[in-house]
Amino acid sequence: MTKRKLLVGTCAAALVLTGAAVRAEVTADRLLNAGTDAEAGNWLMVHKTYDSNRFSTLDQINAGNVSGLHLAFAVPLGGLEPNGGGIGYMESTPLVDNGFMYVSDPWGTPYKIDVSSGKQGKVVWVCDTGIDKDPSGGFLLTNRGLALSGNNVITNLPDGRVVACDTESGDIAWEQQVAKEQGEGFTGAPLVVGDKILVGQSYGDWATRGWLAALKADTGEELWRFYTVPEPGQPGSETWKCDEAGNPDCWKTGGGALWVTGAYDPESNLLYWGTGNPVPMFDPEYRPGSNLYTDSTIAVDADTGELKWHFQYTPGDYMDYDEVGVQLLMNTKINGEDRKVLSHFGRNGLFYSLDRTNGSYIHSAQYIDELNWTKGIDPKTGQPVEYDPSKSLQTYALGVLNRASTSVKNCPHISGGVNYYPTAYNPATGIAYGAGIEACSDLENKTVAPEDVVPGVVFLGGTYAVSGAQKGSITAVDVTTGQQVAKQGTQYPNNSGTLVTPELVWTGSTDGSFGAYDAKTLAPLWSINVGTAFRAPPITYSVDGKQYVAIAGGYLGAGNAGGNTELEDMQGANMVWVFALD
Amino acid sequence: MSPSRAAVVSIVLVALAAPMVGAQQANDPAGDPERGKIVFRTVGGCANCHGWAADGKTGVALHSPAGPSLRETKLNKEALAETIRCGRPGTQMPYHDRAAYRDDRCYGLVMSDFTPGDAPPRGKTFGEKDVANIVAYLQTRVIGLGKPTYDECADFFDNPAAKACIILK
Repeated sequence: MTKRKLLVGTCAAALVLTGAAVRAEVTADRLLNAGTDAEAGNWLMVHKTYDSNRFSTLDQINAGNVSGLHLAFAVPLGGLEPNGGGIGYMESTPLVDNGFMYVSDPWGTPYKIDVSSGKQGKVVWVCDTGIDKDPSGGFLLTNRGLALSGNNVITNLPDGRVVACDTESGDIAWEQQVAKEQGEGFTGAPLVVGDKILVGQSYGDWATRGWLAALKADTGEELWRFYTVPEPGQPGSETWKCDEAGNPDCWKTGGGALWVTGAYDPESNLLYWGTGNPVPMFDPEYRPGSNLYTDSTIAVDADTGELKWHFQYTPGDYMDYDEVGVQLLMNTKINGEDRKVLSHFGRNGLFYSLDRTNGSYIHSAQYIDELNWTKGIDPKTGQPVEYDPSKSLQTYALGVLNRASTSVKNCPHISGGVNYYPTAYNPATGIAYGAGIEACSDLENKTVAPEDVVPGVVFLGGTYAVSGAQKGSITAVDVTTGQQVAKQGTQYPNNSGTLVTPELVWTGSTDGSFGAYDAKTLAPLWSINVGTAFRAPPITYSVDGKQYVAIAGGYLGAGNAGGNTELEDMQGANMVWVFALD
Repeated sequence: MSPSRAAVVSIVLVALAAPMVGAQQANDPAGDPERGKIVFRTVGGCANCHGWAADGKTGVALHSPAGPSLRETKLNKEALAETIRCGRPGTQMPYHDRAAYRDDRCYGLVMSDFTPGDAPPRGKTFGEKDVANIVAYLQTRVIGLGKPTYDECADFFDNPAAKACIILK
């Protein structure tokens, strides 16, 4: 063989290898290694890694050069058909694997986009799930992302189906009607663990009961299911005193929905999911008791669905303090001791750290400016000091909300604090980042009779209004101490969430701006306003050694401007925006 | 509630309690209930807060404040029309006359009378005919109804297979 032929042969082999890499299936091992250097350019699952850290080591874009960042290209998506309250919300985290992006629109429809050129995003396919876009449907219209599993892209839909789209063709490989009861469905992204797909029933406020289910990854067949509201006789059912309310079935519509993807610890094989509010949110007399396992972190065995521990943040809640938000996992030192920790920015305005091996409380601290619902947290139990487990109805420091009460003001606002907006953690510095709302709300009870409760119809047991205009903030917390180390106030509420790279924190705003902040000081370093409200979190990826930052933008929505009337005329357009340096 | 907001609310409540003899009344065209239903459902998005059943519950969107039950409203024709045109200051009921609060046509108030954040929100724009159409819809097909039924739902959406209705079957 001549030298030239040898070279050609080498090139051909390299091409084959490159081709093989592009088509590499997303195996269980690749997902386990999603945080390693080999996968640094990819974003393979919704929170990037099983520890939900949303931390990327990519540092080509850094504090020194971010001022030169510019829009590289943008891709419009569909899914603008309205439902009930109007156009759906873009809350999807894009995934990226070897130069291809996978993102969902508010109806959960997956798109595969070729982003390999860095100049243009070319839609390769749209996987039409055949969802009925009947505008009378009263469910909240959003989808928070997809999962990659083998050669499939997995979406779970508001109509309760889980659908696998073939990664190459976009054809439907299989589909299963997993959520079968009236009112049930999905909005959170699925999570693939080993040979299973985890999905969480998301529509608690529609008079349903939350559950986490494991499906066989190759067929979607259900393997196990864990209900977040126990049925009578099961452990925890004693915290639903439905008989006292004269309504023995109150647990059946008790909520505890799962609408943000949880975390996974391969070492213990435990899944950590945050759960939603008890339903109805403003009428605790409908469902007396502490209402386990609502407003909680639950640790569930990934093989069996067995509950290992739980930690409830706001027992007997009447302020809509869902704790579905991201569960950050980290190994760090607490009081000089190595601990396996789970940290969580509570929607209730407090940042909590727990021992993730057993759920025991480590510490907490207020991260939101105004908090009136509790005087503090018991340093031993982690429970609010007002909590009295012997009482069927709790009275927190803000005052009572019941059928006889007048309206009550709660801070933070019922939407948070940090809500579903993903948080992030830099394991190198030990700093956690959360972005959210600075505001209060006014709550009122409006009693609904049990015979008028219909699964599939919004069931709040009251109403709420924003108390003054909402503002926002980004907060940095040192997990070792639990104390805030930096804070940046923002003019508008944050519904986007955070990405952290070695020197930068990234987030979008409801006013259409997207920016990078110094990871130490949170000082703003760069921003652009592209005009779409941001309710989705940013990601970063690389192709051929070049780093990009991407974020999906869309609709703000009536009633979501948080009292900022100047935002109310912003229009909907579902877009993916991608930024790069020259 | 701020003092100015309390004052505004009391003005409105007085105004709403009294029979309205506004300038518009004499010119009110006869309303078409069927068109009123379409405006309520599709143009105005009224169901987000009042629900498709207009009972303040059934069909209310999660992120919208639950409005009062119009099945149980005591408002007469003129008060309904005024509320649709002008909204209801001190509440989240929007106004639908685009020129409201530019002059004193609504409760004698203009925008600058409200403290920032307390001004009534702007809803979709309705012409005077559609205001009358919605009033006719409410008066002939909503006010006085009891618990929402499947048949009412199918009629509202002009679709017996509408998702919102199937759950009532």
